[in-house]
Amino acid sequence: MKNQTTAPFLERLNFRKNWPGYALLAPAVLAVIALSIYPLLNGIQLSFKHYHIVRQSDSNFNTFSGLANYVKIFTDKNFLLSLSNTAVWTIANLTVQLLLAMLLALALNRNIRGRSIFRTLSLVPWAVPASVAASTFSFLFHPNVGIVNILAVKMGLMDSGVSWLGNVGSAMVCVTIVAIWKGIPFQMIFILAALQGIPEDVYEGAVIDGSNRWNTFWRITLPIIKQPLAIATILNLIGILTSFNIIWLMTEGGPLYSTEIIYTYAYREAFINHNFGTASAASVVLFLIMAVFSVVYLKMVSDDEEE
Amino acid sequence: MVKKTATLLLALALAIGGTACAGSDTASGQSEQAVQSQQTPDAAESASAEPAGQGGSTEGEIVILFPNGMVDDAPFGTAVKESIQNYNDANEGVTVQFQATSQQDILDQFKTAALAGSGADIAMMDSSGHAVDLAAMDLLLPMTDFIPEAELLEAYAEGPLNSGKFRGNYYSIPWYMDNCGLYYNTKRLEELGVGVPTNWEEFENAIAKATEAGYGGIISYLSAYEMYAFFYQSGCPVIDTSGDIPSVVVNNDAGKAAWEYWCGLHLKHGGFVESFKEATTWDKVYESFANGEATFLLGGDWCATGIERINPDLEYGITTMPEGTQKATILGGWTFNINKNSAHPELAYNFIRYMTSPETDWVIEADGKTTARLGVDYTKALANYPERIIFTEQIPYTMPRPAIINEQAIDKLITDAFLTVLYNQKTPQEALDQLEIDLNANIDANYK
Repeated sequence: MKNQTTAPFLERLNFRKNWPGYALLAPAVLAVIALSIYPLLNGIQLSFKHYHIVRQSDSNFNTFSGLANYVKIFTDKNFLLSLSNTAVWTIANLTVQLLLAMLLALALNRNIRGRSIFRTLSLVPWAVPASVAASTFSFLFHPNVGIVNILAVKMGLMDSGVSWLGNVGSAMVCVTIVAIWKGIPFQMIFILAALQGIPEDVYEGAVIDGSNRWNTFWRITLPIIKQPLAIATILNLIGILTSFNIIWLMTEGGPLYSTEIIYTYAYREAFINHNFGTASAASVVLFLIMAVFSVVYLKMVSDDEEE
Repeated sequence: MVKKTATLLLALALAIGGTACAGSDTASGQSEQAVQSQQTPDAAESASAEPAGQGGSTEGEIVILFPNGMVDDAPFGTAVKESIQNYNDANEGVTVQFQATSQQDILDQFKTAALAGSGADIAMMDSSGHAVDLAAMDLLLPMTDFIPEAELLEAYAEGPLNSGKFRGNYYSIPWYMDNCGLYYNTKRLEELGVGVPTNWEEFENAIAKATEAGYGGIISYLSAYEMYAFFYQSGCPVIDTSGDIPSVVVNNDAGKAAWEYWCGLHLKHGGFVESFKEATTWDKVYESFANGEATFLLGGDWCATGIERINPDLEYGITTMPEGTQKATILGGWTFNINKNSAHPELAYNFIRYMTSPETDWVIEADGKTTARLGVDYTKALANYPERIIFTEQIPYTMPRPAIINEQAIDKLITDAFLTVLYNQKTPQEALDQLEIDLNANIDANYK
């Protein structure tokens, strides 16, 4: 019998024997190719083309442009601002979500009364559609009738209401709060599932050995859930980087591009400025950032496993 | 590791593809519906639509894309649906169906569908230059394919017609037109001992008095809409579109005067209410004025309905825009446009002709709108809305936005220039200089 890992690829697939399985998988694979792989590859090739759709009569329309689109976006101050905003947006979201999700998961993993109700309730923000969340929070932040301003004025913190979403200094904080509120359950559910997979006797042994709560968490819980935590974090990172709805619906990237991230920049280029070439170039930059983060993270997890 | 990396990259691709698809969808908040209008037999009997066809197809189905507000259950929407039904009943073999989407997304939705080779046969477009973008993308049929240019110019007001003019061709037929007026809080002005402002000086004085007394000044939509009106009142067209390539004139003497006046309302008097900074929907504009935050509102006739819905007890008045060196205001309204992909363009045009004919004036009159046809007694349309008569008084000096590719981006550049002054990042002149540079760059990108 041939070694499984050295046998030819096609032979290993064993089509004759496994064809029903492949047949069942085929629709899903085709859907992924049609809806994800093709748009991705098409987007990449568009990023190297002159593709300004209001200039279709130009002789160079839809022709190879080399790196022109990339040069254009990297010399655009709004794109550079969107890069730094994306970094702030991602780091703030990821860090706070991870921390709060961990605390929430640890709390919900304990034997508390009404745990199942709390678990269900904690998932509500995730289930709320982004458009509903955006309009609800926009109302909460409203300068005249929003509860945030009303409370702040009543408590004497401010003389009058402030346009939180309309000021350059506060808009990013507001949209980040909404994204954190909405994103925590996703991260939490992964961590909670991992925590529930840890056998109780591991903790009992730790107690017998005199480990305190912090040591138990740091030396037992965290190493055990490290891998699912890494996967959840990667998925969350992708979700945060490609977040669009909350920002667009609440601020449209404004005021003065203070909440513009790469995704909203790409959308603006494509659907407002009509330049699909530069929009695709910005999307490719976003894709590369995500790919780099993901590979680095996987390598870290893999190295740890080998150790 | 390789397997994991490959899996992850696949997942990444899935995430990007999925989010990209969902992004445009959910962001636009589409609520598309294809609904055939309900039968109203009595009204159907009175319909006398033109026979379909001018050498083209005489039967078939056409679809028209409306913003939600034109086909909802309010009196205007009900009237629109009734008129469609009447047309269907009077034209055997022709079926008109409608789709609806949000006003903010109608351009994107039609554009996306039309670029893919489909889309509604007729699309309603805001006269703020949307048709120009679509024409530049070669997605619309010129109206001169159906009606000689001379007849078009004879039948419709120049401003609304020009909002759909691109490279010498007319791509839109205007339905109704509106313009920007000045709403004021009657009781507040009485309390302040200020008369209704009629010119720039009086307007600035009224704002100064209001802010000194602790009240808010102006609320308007956060866009260049009302700023255009002040530029025009100063005699500056912002962008001169008379040549082959548009030319930016915003920084000439007239432009500077308007800009300094507008920025001065903020710098000298803190004349813009806090809500103005996030007034990216008209609802926020109505709310600010209806609840008393703002003393003045700059907006079109539709604001009256919004204000009364929020605060029916508010005592307010509407007057013409304050006069600068000349009288001027900015045009609004909606136009009909025919999709280049339409299988039945003649049927589409016949339906447009029906909707813009005198026999369907009752439809737009249901909402106090004025037709964009020439030679009409506009005051008749406002019989039920006498307080809006000032909007018809402004018609002779109402001017459209510059008919230019990518007006949305132009609008944002002008708005952002003002925001840099509002946030004290730039002086008015620095902001205007930068605006001139940015507008020129935009025109270069789209024309040169």
